[in-house]
Amino acid sequence: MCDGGTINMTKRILPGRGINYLKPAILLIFAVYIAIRVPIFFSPANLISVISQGAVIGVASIGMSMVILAGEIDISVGAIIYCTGAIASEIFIETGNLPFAVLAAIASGALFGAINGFGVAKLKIPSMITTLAVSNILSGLGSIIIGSDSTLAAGSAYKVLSQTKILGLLSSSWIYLLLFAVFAVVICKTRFGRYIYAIGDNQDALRASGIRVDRVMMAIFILTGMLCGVGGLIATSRLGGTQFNLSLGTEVYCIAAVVVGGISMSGGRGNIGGLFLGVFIVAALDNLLRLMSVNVYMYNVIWGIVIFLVVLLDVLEKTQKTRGVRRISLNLNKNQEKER
Amino acid sequence: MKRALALVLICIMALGLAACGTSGGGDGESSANEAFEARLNDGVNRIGFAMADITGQAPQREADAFRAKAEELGFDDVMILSAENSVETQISQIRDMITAECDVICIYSADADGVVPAVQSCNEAGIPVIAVDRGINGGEILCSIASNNISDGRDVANYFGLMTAGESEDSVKVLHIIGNLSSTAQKERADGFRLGCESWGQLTIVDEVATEADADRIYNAVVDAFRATPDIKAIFVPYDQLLSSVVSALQEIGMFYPVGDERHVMLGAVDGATEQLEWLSAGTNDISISLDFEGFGSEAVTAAWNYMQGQSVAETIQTTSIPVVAGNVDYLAGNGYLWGLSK
Amino acid sequence: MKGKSSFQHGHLVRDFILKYGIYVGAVLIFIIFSIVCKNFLSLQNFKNILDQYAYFVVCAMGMFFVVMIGGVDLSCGGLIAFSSVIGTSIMIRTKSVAMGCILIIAICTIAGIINALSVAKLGIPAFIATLAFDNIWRGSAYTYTSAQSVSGLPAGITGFYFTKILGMRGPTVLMLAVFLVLFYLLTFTGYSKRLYAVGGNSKAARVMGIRATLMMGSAYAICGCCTGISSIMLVSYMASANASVASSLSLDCIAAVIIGGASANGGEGKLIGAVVGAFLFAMIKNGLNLMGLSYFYQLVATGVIIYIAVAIDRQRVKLGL
Repeated sequence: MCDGGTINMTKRILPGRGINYLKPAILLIFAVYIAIRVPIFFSPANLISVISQGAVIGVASIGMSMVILAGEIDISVGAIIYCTGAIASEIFIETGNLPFAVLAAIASGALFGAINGFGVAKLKIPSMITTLAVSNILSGLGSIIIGSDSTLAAGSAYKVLSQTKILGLLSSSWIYLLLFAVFAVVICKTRFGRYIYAIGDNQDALRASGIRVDRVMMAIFILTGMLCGVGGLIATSRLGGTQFNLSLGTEVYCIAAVVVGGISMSGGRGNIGGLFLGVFIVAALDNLLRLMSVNVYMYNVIWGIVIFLVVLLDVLEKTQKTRGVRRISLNLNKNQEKER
Repeated sequence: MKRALALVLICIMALGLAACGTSGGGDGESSANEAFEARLNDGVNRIGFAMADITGQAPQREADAFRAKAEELGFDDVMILSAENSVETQISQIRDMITAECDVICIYSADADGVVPAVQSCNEAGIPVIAVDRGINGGEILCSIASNNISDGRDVANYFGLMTAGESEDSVKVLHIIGNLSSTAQKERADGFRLGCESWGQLTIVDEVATEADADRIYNAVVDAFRATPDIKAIFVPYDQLLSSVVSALQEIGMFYPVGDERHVMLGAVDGATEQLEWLSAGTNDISISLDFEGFGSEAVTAAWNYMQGQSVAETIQTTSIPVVAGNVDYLAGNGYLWGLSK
Repeated sequence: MKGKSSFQHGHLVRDFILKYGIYVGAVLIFIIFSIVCKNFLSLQNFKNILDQYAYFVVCAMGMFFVVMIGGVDLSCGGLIAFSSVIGTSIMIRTKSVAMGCILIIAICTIAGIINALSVAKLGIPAFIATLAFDNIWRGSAYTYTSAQSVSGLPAGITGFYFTKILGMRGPTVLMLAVFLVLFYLLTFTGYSKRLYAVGGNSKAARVMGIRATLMMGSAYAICGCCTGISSIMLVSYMASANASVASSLSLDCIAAVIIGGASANGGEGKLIGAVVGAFLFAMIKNGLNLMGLSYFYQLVATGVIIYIAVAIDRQRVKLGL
């Protein structure tokens, strides 16, 4: 199923479809330009730090990609990271017990995800509104937990979680890579993964075939919450504690990473492998803006233009492909209708 | 039919509103004064404090001091609202305070120009306004509790300059971290810092990075800045508490050396938060400018109380910012000059 | 169909509550605030809410059209920032308020059409296209002003808030006027039928001979135009302009429209619902302020109220009432 990945692969190899080469070509040209203009970008040390800078966004983007594949959206990601991070730091300061703090972050993330999932799947509140409400609640709650000193210092023992170097990479990067591998398998190879695509593609058909769509949806949001809990752990352990408004607004970067990674906003289409590139591009763009000393007021403009162009390229590529595939999919639809 | 009915209903509603509008509301100076007197004698002394933001130890302490002083002096009700750097939110909060019949409204403005209409509304309603921390560029202000964020930023630059005096031109590379673009305090401190750097030939700002005051992004910014310019000698951050992520980042890239070490990177910020003042003696950072946040809160309340008692109030009450370094931190703390170390 | 069967006797109260979910919710919140805070229930405060949130209601009404065709517009906030700093600069330079206002509305309407073109012609998802433009507009506003606020506006615009027409302040009158125009457009012309058709099912609409692209363009243009009007109202409200204004406006507007009973997928909803939704939002903010609740607790309370209000409203949809 996985986005009909095989079809894409063969199409990509077939000649005569120039548009398919457009995106790699532009990326390549851009990379060459960067290599000349900011050679330091391609130094191994910098690339490693880009990966570690993308760890929080990356982990949360895995969840976001599932949500978007299912045709929904989650704008509470930043707030969940903030709140779970605050809970974990507070518990670590109180008890000094690291596994307990980790457990608390992931469990509270699951709870917050469940509140989202309950609203979307059971109460049928549009996901944008559910998660907006939850985002409000959690950003308030996180600040209340942190308290009036506006900072929680958990000390260097807490940093072990994400700052330990293993084989040249920080443990935060390893956590991200590991989770990415696990979820790539889950999304591509398991029945649960297929359901996610199917929900985004055609909920009614899935429901007709006897699948409890609401349970799958619930699971997606809970998993996203848990991943954000991990994100909260990474973000806070990097700093050895937390602060007011840490990571609030991360969801925008996650959505950007998912979309830049080629996953369709309307759900049901997209390859999870692209997400890795998406996260890297988003983290690298941030890194480049700083390395190139761009005027601080221009950050937003450049961000907007880059997202717009990348998604435009992606859309152009997709429309080219669907022209070829449309006939097949029409037939498929007819078959489905007959079955009903 | 239904549509026509709906339209008629709406017209009636609109007319009703208009009718209500014309009946209420007096005008002129005298009625404003009467309104003030009436509120004074209504049996409830209520004071409002509209703050630009409350996310940080400093504004939290400011609010706490405000509340404590108000309760001590005998205000019955204290209303503290935060606009989180949004001007339009602050305006509506101030107008809500007017509705809530506050006797005096203190404003720590999110924007010196933007809140003027709200101040005019206060004037219209006969409510005295006290400007706290930052001036307001219009309307009638009873009293300003003034500080100077520009000079606070400049003080840090001057310290960097003094410590490196005699170095060759443009040899001391400075990283300037920009916090929240929408915050006026951030803007003024940044302007002051740039101004200060200009007066020292050896100081040169090699990079300015926008971080939305997010600890995580500051961390990344510092790592990246050192990658682009490995020989950065000083870092300026607009708020003390953001220094913790700077220090974490320096530790990660192995650039963290305490004061006194030749390779030490100078760290300076404004606010005078507890953790950063404690760091001074440990040699983690170099300088912090301690603003009198508790003073802002309590001075504002005192001025309001005096005015309500019929006493005259000074037009401007100047507060002082104190540069704190390792050499004077113990003395200042011992004499209770630092809000960050007072509890 | 299945929902109908549960609509039986014995559930009269429940069904009534659910049928008028959002209105019942609004009244309930109104009553609670009236009891809890002393000054909430007064004509003065009611007028206060109208004046303060008129810009928000106007923007929400614009958003209603975009939501109806199944889109979203996240660019309102950035657009307000950009158009207001440009418009006010022109006002100061030319000393002509009218010129500035026309420019603001023109910028916003054109930006709305650009949004529509990106979505309908280029096929970029509305969420992403408008998010990108939000960044672009806001960034341009910051770059243009270097994050300084634009002040010293002509009295014509700053006095607008304090102008009283028929006893109401300027913004309230303007809001009512916009509402009447849009209400007329939706009720007395064939526009709403086509709008709902495109939003509900654009393929079916195409079969009916409705040009979906044109409808989309008009909806985004109306949204842009409303954003422009709301931008002017904000300028007069703040007597200045700055680049950081209206940062959460778009999401709040979408929330208001959906709280007002509109379907997030388009094709279903009422303009008056959007207005009620926006006022509900305003009422919550106003009430929490009057209670003097601190910022963090306000965040939590707002979130909880929105969650519950929309949950009740969605039960209505589920039961098919």
